[in-house]
Amino acid sequence: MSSRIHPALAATLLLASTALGTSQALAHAVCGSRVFPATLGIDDPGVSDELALPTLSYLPTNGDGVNEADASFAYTKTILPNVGLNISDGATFANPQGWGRGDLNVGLSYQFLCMPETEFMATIGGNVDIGKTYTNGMGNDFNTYTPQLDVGLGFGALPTSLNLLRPFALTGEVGYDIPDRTWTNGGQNSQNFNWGFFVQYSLPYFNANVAEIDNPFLKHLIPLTEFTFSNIITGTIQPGVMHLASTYQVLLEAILPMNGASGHGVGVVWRVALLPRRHVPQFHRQTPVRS
Amino acid sequence: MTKLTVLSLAGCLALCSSGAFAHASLQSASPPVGGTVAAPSQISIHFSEGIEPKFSGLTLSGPHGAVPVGHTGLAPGDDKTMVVKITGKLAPGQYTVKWHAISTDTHRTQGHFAFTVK
Repeated sequence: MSSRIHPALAATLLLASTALGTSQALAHAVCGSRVFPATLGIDDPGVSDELALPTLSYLPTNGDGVNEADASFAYTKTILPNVGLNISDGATFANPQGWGRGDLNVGLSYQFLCMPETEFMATIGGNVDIGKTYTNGMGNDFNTYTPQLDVGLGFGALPTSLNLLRPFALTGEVGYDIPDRTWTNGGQNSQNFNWGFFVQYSLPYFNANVAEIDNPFLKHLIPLTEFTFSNIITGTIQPGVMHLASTYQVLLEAILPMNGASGHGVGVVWRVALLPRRHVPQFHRQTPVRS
Repeated sequence: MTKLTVLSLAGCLALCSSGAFAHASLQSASPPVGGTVAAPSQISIHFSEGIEPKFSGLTLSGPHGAVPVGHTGLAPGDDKTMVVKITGKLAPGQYTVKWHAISTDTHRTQGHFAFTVK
């Protein structure tokens, strides 16, 4: 028999797991010389430990014509080589509806490919959006299952005569939302085909492979633009910039709705992702190399 | 969602062993990446993480093919900097360094860059 868990207990468990489970982590995936960072709309194509806290976003008018602000976190933990478990949750403030928590989302990912020479990697996974997670939530009354594929391709294999193009990389994602209930309160629960990609021009890659950048701030920046779509008819374009350091990454993007069905006005989103082992060194464990 | 599910999830997050993900990325090099220099006697690469010299190294190639290099070492008191001696004097031209590094927590990275000897 299913019993509803108290939100405070869930939060306590989550914080405990975050604190205790931190070991060696990086907030991005690496294949060869290429770093594929996690971004806001598109997941990275690898599996790694990552704590994204917080992600804050604001939309003047969303697709439903509502003023919306969101705050959320996401945590991913590797539990086996190339296998990661992720959990995310957040709260939404909508005007005039008020605020409420969204559904808890959990998932599993498996990185099945990394070709260092061609900087190509891929990960498959699945997520479950758990309906009715909170009694006062703004989430759904049903579960939604989402199989997902993420791929990344760096341009580092280009010849050195095209050196200036080598810092480019593409990351793509496709997923399909499958609700476990067709109808809710007389309304149909839609199945959504979600897809998107982002283009990055990595200055850290430029610094390591093309030409050294003297400016210590500039050489950690990654200008990028995300394109996210749902069922082709709605989507956003999100130009932004990431600061990628060894202990954290900060991402700031504008949100530009592609059409009226996607929203109105320019939104903004900001995320900080931490490298937990650097911030909680007492939990750092090293794997010795055997000679 | 059952309490058992949440407890299992939290327990797994907290206790399951993790792979290590501190990859060593190139921060700077001498000769500098893409730079033009007088003939160097060694190549040093500074990484973001400590590396294992036994499992790290580089190759050097130039206008006349592969260039012999010595064993991989570390800069004194600095496990983040790989140092490799160049055997012989480099002639003018463009050279390519192909490096690979195993960080102290066993993750591998690799890359290549060019420099020019004037």
